[in-house]
Amino acid sequence: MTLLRLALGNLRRDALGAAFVTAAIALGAGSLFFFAGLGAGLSNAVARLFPEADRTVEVVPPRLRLGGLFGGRLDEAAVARLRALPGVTEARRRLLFGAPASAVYDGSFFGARLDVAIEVAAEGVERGALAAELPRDEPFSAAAGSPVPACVSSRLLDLYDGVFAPTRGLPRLTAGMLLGFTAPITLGRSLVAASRGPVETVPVRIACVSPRAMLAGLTVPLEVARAWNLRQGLPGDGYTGVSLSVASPRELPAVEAAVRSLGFELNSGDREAAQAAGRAAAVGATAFELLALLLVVLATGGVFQLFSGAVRSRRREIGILRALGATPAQASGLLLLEAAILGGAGGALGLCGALGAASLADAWLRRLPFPGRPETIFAFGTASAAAALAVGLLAALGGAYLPARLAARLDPARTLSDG
Amino acid sequence: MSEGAAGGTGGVEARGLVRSFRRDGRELRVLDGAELSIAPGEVVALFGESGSGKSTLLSILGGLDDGFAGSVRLSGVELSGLAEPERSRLRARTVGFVFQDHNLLPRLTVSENLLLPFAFRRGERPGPEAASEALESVGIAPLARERAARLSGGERQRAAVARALVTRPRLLLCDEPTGSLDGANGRRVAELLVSLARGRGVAVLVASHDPSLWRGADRALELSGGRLRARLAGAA
Ligand SMILES: Nc1ncnc2c1ncn2[C@@H]1O[C@H](COP(=O)(O)OP(=O)(O)OP(=O)(O)O)[C@@H](O)[C@H]1O
Ligand SMILES: [Mg+2]
Repeated sequence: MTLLRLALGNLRRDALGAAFVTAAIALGAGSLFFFAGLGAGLSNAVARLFPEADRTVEVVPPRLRLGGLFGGRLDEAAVARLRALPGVTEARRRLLFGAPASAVYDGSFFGARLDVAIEVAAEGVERGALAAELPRDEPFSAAAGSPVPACVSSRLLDLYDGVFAPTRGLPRLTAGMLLGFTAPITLGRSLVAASRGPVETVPVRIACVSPRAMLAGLTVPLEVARAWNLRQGLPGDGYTGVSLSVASPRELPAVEAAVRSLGFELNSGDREAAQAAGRAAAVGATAFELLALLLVVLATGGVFQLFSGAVRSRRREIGILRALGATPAQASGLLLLEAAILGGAGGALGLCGALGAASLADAWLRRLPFPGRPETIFAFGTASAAAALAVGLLAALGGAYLPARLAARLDPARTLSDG
Repeated sequence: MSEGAAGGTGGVEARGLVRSFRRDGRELRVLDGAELSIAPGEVVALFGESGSGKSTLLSILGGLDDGFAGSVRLSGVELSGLAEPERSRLRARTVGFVFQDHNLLPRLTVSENLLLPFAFRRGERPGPEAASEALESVGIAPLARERAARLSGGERQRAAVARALVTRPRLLLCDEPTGSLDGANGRRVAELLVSLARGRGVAVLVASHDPSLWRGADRALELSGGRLRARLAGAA
């Protein structure tokens, strides 16, 4: 207790130096914590933007059919073979609607007036592909006389809210607002092309907003896409894609190789984008973490300076403590205790500063209209907080180590007679 | 009193002490066969010219300096060859020091200064009442909670005496304890020191320039030429 008071008193003696060193440690440990949180947060954001990119293999038919053993057609037999591949837990079929389609809308749109005509693409998927976002009581199937359920991409919604709505004076939308919105689309004719099939108009109802839905179009039940294709005179068998789920990212390469050997191609656009974004985030964060480490090293130098000076100006006091029975280790321990106080305080200040800076950064981002913007781009954990505190402590103790050893080696007889 | 009793039962006994320093490449032999024995309760004054080696002798006897040849028995333990941290532990248990000045840590209160020696020991953690009792005995009990820096010179030396005795040492080593005090103050501190030590059965060695202050001592020694010689008590 007395030693703690003594240590605090000693720190107060050179309060300016102590404050400076504490601030340096806070800056180093805090920015380390900040950038570690930023790196983790960005990779979380990437993972949210491209869900399951590291656990899904997108199989497409080969662009060139070389007449291989299986002919490269994605029919039921091929789907069965893909599903049977080792490591594959699920095989979900996809079917693009192959004819032109468009939507002309002129009416009220969530309180504003909307008058648009757009090209529409559509893809049919199995219910399981969207299960995470579909309401539990949404069957996601065609029922005679009622509108076709369709999902839209959450990334598209982000784009709309971030870029489109503000510039066109249209209301911003949430996924909840969109659910149930019904509008007609026209099959067999678009703004730029017409098919050989009949032109028909079908009502479509938004059933979910999902990051797994196709980006620029409507994602509808598989059998709806097949029925539309048949009505337009297109082949009714086979699929345009199969999504394979694998148990773990480690199995991806083997599954991909097996898919290729079956004569199919891979569409890895999403995963490559996710990997590129993840890599960029990781590299950026690592660079800043290195910079933060450099700050920590500089802070250690400051601690060394401070305590070297302290040992010099406190020789007499250290001699008195030794005369009172302090062992050399206890004399240096007092200095290390002082350093630990600085390091602990610096680390704690740094943590608070980093958390504050992170919430400021998030608040600033929230005002930026950019699509796909996550709520936070940080992920702070207790492990990284503990690590940052430890770094602050280690920086202080490391900087004070040599001066403390010097204090232990001081000849007490001499320091006492020097006066 | 036999010489053996002094080093064995709580006093101090030194035989053939030699201590030399190197200065400007030459050997400076400060102690050259000094011999000394102080029994418990005995107060010995140590005189000698400036630079004769008084402080050096005190440092050796108190285990602050281990660069000597010869033998020192402190409370029955041989100091020569005793390594750290045992040397510091023995010092904490058996020796009290009073220096000329800068004895107290100015940022701590007087009471905290008194309890400081216990911060370096295992076990024993006396409370503030031990400090106020010790301050009572030197007559400055009301200053217990005062910052040491705010005390007068005489009050500081009284506090230093109280701190040196609060751990119940066997040997009290005082290096010019009145050196920075004026005549009257110095005399009062000297008298206090002698009476307290005697009452507690502590062996005392006081180095001083001023023989007039130490007429109450049992014996006086003169250090010159690296050796100790008896000096007639009171002969200033
Ligand atoms: N660590 C040291 N290194 C070199 N020389 C030293 C050391 N300690 C003491 N000396 C020298 O030894 C001699 C005796 O010093 P010491 O301090 O013991 O004398 P003193 O009798 O206490 O003097 P004073 O009355 O002035 O306090 C001096 O010449 C001093 O310079
Ligand atoms: Mg001296």
